[in-house]
Amino acid sequence: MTPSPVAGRAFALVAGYAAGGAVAYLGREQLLAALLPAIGWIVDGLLPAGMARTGLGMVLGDGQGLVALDAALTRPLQARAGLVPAGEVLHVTTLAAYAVQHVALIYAVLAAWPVRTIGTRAALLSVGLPGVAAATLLDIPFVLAGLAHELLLDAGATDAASRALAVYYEFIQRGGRPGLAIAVSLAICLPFAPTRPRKNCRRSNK
Amino acid sequence: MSRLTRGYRFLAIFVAAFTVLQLAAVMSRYYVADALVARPAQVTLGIVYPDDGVRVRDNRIESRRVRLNILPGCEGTELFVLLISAVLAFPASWRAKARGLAAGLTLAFALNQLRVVWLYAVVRDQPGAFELVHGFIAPTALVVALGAYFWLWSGRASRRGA
Repeated sequence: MTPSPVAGRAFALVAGYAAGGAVAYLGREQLLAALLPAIGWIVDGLLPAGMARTGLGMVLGDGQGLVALDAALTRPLQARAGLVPAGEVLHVTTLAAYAVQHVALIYAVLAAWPVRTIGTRAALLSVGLPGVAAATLLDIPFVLAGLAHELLLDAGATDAASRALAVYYEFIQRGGRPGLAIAVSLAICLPFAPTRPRKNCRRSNK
Repeated sequence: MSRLTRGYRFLAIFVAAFTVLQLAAVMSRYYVADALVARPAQVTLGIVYPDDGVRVRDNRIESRRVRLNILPGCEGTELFVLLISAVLAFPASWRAKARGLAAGLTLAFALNQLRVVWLYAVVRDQPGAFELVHGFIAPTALVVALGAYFWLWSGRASRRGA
């Protein structure tokens, strides 16, 4: 008795997750270090008006690895409690482990996706790398900058902050992350979908 | 409709449904952790650790040895949203979808309870492993388990529909 292809794919999903996840977890610092410059560029474009990045890096907090962003006010900011002077620094963080989640979920799907040849599988796994970068860059910088926007909104600085970015931050942070990873992985996989061999068509010229 | 077109159709409906449901959960600010996670966890943890005296207050799980706060984003609601979106997007009969959701949502609830028990056990006995389990394994392992369920269900639903 041979296992069904569907059960085999479910097993490949779990095996791909375990392998991809283990590699990503062990190499998480290198992964984030490689993406940190791009994260910084995106954060620069997303920060509230009148704020500039003064620091971005990986730190330890409560025993957990964090990506930390420092952003300073470049001009005074009107908040509910009064005028906040220029130079005040906002410190926001997010878990470094979140970047690893994308690797594990994307490579789980890539490992399980049905393909016909080993070469196609290798191509699929290679395309996974820019896919992981894209998913991470749609997550970490938006979460850091979005948190800054949300903090400003909470402080009553509604003119400087973007509600849309604050909502996107909540969207990702409160469960949108796996949805993003799965959408990216499917977008990678679909062009590699095996096509059914065509039946020979007989054309009659009556 | 070609396989590729069906694939892109699935992706489009999945993304749209997930975005709408997830945004609804975020914008409503209704905090589901108390009813969906914490209160059932009191029962589950009471069975697994009867001597710990587990009590639940709002979104906090407390015992003599452990205090766990289920914060927004840690409720595991994404499991339910992911499953609903994927089942809705998959081309199957409404009857098959209803069956897939009934079994899948039950599985999602059980997996979420397992996650809370697991986190409780880690904080209780292996606090050094908290980052690994809380930040990485627990959120993704449950998604993969549910993904395996979806793959099996969709394979079955396709065969029946064929």
